[in-house]
Amino acid sequence: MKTILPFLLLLFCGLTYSQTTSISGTVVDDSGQPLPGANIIVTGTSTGTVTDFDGAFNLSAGQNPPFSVQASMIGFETVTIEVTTNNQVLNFVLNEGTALDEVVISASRTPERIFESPVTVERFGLKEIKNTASADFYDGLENLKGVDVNTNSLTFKSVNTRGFATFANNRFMQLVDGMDNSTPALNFPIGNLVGMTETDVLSVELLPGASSALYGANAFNGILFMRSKNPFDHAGISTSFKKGITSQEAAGDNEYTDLSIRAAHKFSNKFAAKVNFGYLKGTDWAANSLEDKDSQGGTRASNLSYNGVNVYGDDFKRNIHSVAITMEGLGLLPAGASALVPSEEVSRIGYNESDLTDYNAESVKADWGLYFRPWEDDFEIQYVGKVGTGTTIYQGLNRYNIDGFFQQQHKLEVKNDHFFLRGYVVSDKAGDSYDMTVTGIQILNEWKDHVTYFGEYTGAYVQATLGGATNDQAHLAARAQAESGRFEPGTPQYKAAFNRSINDPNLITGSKFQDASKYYHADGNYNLSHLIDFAEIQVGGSYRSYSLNSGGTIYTDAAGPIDYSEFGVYTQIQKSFELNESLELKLTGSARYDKSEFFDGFVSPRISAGLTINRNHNIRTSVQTGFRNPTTQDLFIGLDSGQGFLVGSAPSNLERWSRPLDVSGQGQLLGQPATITQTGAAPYTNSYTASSLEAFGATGDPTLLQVANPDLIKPEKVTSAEAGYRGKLDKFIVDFSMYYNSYEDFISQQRVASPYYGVAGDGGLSVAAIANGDFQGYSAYTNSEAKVNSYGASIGLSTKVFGNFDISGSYTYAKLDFDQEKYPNFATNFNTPEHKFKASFGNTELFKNFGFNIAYRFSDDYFWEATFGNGLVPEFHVVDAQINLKVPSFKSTFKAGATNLLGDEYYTAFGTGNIGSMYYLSWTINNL
Amino acid sequence: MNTKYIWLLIILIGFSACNEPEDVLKGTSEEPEVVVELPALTAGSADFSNYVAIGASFTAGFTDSALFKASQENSFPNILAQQFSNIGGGAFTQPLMNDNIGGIAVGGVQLPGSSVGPRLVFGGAGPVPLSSVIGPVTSTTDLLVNNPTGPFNNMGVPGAKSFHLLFDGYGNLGNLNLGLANPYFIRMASSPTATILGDAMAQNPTFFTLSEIGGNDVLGYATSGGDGSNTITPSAGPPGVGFDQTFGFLVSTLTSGGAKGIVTNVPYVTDLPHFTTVPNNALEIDAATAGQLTGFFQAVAGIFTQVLIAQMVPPAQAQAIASQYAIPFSEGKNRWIIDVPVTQTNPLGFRQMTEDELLVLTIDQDALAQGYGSVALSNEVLQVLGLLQAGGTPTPQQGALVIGAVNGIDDGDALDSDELAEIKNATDAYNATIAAIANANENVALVDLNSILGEASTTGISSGDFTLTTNLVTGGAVGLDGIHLTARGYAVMANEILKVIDAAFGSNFEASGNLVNAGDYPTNYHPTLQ
Repeated sequence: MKTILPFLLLLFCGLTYSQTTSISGTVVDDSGQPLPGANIIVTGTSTGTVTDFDGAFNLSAGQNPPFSVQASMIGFETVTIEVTTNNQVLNFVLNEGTALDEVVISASRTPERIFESPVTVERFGLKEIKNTASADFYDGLENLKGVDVNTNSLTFKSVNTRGFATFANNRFMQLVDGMDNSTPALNFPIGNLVGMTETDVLSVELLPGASSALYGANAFNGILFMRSKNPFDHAGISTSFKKGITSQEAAGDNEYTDLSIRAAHKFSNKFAAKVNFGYLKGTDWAANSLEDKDSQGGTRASNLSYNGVNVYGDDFKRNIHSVAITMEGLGLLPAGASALVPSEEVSRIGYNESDLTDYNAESVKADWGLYFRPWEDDFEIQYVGKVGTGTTIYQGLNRYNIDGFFQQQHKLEVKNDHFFLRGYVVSDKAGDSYDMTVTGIQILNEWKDHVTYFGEYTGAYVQATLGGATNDQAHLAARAQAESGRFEPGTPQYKAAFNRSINDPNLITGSKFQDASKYYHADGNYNLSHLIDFAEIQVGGSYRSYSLNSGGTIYTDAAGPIDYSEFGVYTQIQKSFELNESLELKLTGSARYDKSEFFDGFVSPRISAGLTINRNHNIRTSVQTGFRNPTTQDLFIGLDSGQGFLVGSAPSNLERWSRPLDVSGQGQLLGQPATITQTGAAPYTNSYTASSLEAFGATGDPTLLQVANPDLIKPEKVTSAEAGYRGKLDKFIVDFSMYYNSYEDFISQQRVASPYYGVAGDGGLSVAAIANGDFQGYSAYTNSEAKVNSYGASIGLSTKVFGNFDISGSYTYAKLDFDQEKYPNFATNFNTPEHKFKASFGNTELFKNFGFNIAYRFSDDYFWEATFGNGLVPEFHVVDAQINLKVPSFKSTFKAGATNLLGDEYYTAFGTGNIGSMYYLSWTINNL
Repeated sequence: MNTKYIWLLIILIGFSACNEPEDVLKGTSEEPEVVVELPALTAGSADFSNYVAIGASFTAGFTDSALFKASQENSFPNILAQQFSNIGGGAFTQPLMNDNIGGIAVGGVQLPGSSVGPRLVFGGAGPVPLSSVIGPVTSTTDLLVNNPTGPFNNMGVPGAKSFHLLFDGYGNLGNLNLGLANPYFIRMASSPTATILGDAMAQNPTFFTLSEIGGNDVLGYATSGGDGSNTITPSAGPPGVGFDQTFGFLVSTLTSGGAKGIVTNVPYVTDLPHFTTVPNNALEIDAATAGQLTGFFQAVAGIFTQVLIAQMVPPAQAQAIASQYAIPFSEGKNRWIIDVPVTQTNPLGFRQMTEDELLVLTIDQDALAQGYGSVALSNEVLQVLGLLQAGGTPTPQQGALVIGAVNGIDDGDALDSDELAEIKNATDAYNATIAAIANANENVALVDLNSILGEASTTGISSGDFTLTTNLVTGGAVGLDGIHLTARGYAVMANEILKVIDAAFGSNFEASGNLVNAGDYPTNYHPTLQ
């Protein structure tokens, strides 16, 4: 039934044509192979269709001959044929063009050939989707030149270019049909979890590097554009069904299903609609690293303060000597007994991640669109709605099980060839998501709170020592005592504690992630090219309003949603000069002004020049500035991370956040009250740096304490210069680019500690507070003084060999220029390898209807830095491969593919599960 | 294959080993702890092949008021010898006791005296005799049954004073009852006429430690409260009599064969918890008692004034002398009353303790709670006091009754300021001698045990993750007798010695990671340890 249904509907589609001129025909390439999916359009109208699987088409034009019909297809040169009679048969032969002839619209917000684009741009179109060996189109992006796909989870991959990304990649923007699909709660897109279904993808474009001049804040590291198929141009039903297994050492072999359905119908030349549905279910890459985050080669047995990468709850540690001093003060230990207790950090024994999640990976998404062309021309009114829900794992400060996460978007857009105006809303609901790290801590806390645990530990340690034990023996006795009463995974108590924690949104006692934030966005663009001749001028603007609503669990919005807004306006002027017959110069200048409620306005300009020589060579250069506003989290977070408080630095946030804190016995002896209250201002106005605290702790020398008092956050800036070359050299297509980026005011978090009493730097009371343990650790949101530069280059080459085999390769170099020794506390999170190499080899038509593709990727080793943890990402080689068979008789393509065919598990970020292999079979019907 | 595509292959091969992880980690914010390759151990100019330790109780491994097998295993010389064995050190023989009870018997009869009795153990609150936890015990180390056969690398003899090392009857069983011989040396001595130094030298040591010589020369005086039963060895005098020439003789003999060695100086024994644990102001009383005591001592002063006047002392002078006995007491903590020698200025021979004066750990705590250190108030005394309050005049007998009720702490339980000064002066004199002799002999290096213990008793001494203090039981450095070190304390001492050996003789025990970990040594021994 699954397969019959589309055919039935197709029949139905066939009945809708009406009167006037009928034309039909075929489109083939220069070797006579039919070209499915070619665009057929009546020139000057929106009337058109797409060729079917056999390259054939039927079209009814609403006008009388003569008129002309154009056939175009990505990768081929466009051909126009004049229609002179009714029922004329048009046979188009398209000559294959090159990748340089493909049209992109993102680089200048107007269609142009890649060849002439003023900045570097990558494109992933229908042909690439068909040929990719990756499991889906989004994964396929990792074969693009210069692109990093950081794999968080099977269903959450994070795309980035040119470094400086963690999984919380709020420097990278992702637009689907012009709609930002970053999640309101997180400020970044959760990969393609609530993005597009594969059968609806028309093209994906990727601009590496800053694009703030046209796209505003956040388009800082790069921007990903996904465009869907308009139902006016692409009607019918198409489906893709993929079934396979994921194979990983930690999780074993698990089934994997991925289904996409697209149904689009053009009811008339005025009205068309489409519906998409996507469903994916699998098992995530299990993260079971027991590596010690704190000491090389440490294990639970060898390191008392062991903190396993994927073991949670063991992040919680105490210096038992300090505990002993506190216990002495409370009379729980005899005076002086702390001398028997070594100054050693002891961590709790945590729970493995596999005991805190079922690794279900699921994505269900649907969208629908109504398209109305009241005058049957290029003027169109659209309504698009999208919903998505999914289950995945997100690694931020901790690892989060995103379960039943729900995001919806609604867009209304009016546009024609010269302008668009759109407004949309994006809202999320966190569903049953929870923080796995905090869950581990809460379960531990449920059977024994930390104070009791370390009290028992220290008490038993002293007792054992007084019974003649050596240090090792005393630790064993202490651990045995402290661990008594542990809830073991699988027991009813464990399950009850687990369930209680993940359903409790109060992060002091639970671990549920609660959010219902949203933002409203409007933007518009007008291209004046049809009104003004001397240059192509565009103007545009955008407005965004946030409404943060986490019920006080993430943001300081316990009393009600936090609202704030930002806007931007921009213009671009583009002018071509024909210098002589073989030289053409295109100059593009753009500028954008952005203003957030909290910060001074920023102008970010871009100027670029492109020189085309002999129509075969294009040299481009550009300089631009970009900036990034602090995210909603940077501004309004108020969260207990389990290891310290995160307090955003918006001025209103500092006062809105406050916590009561217990003063130690020693502190009370100094005349302090039993409880004091710190507000969010404490880390910003009265704090020491965490690193100096560690130095003080190690040496006991209070002069080592350094006052932190970080500045309140402000936008970060980048200045980027880029040069590139595209062209044909002999049979090679060459695409080369290099860039130099210089960052200022890098937004970063600084770890500080605020004393409960005294003023940081007073050399007296505040030092006593630190010594007594009467301080609170914070992560403050601020800008680094560090000057950070990066530079890099990439080159891509492609050609045909042995007849019609496609071979291509790219090399990307990326280098950070940063004085780490000068800024030991600052992590750049550069997170990209110095060398990347990618290659692909394939043939779309090895013999009739049969094609194959092999993709290879190499990544050099690199050091991953992120809040969750830092560590080495070893080099990896990955080979993906697919073979495909077209069966035109029932409009199907069958593909058998495998990713990571070599089976060497690897990872792209420290802390995630290893990426294993996937083996799949797919059946795609009618996806042209 | 077309040569045009060879670049692809070259790049493929070229990148397979682009850079090493270390390059990637260099300069990142969190460089992993790199395991630093330590240099190999070298001995320097010292020859550790035949190490002999000469000394007293510290050298023997005495702890918790006893010597026993486990404590001997953790003696600092044995710890040193284990480290020396990594760089040419030979076997290290110790005169092991027969058990982990401690103490010595003769013919099945336990010798009297705390230093030859069973060990102390931790009883939950403080040190208690082993027998109070596991029942009656008798030492199985018997001078008539199981003396070990030497020679012994560890020539530590608990209780030995400097001159004892030269005394040729110190190991003679026949001298035991005369108090001239030491049972610990009787076990070890190669013959009844052997000397400690002689038995040591007979082994031709290549390396020696001469430790805590001079310690017992003041300690015996200190632990006996300076009551005269155990005198301080004169700091000057010929070998076998005075400290300076005895010590000089020991060092010159030990180095006569070219051996190198370590000498330690003498700590201020009064910093040890044996003297610092019982506070001198533990007379904690309420306001009524304070008033009563104040009244009592006013009565004493008044009565004594009358006594002096009766002895024809001019009234003003009588009052001046007697007024020192009108000791005021206040609510809370008050210092104890101690007995001092009778002098013209203090004819009654008692006074209140001053701030720095000390009490010994072995003082009878129960007695203190019942008037020892203040007043033994009998009904008769109270009657006299009542009489005085009523304005009556007591008879001389009644007056004597009141004065006699003053119950000062005995000399043997306290160290008064004069005694403390004597101990300090003697210690300083010994240490000056030790430093001078050590400085004059390039084969000898000085370990400043005085400073080390001083540090432990003030700020605490750090070793690895531990900071050891000299608090009794809880400090970690000093054992349950309040005088001798714990195994952990001896380990720290061994480390300090190794550091000095490094500095003096060019070895690298510290740099090569050959110091010991204090945490591997316990702070006391479980009562059930057999």
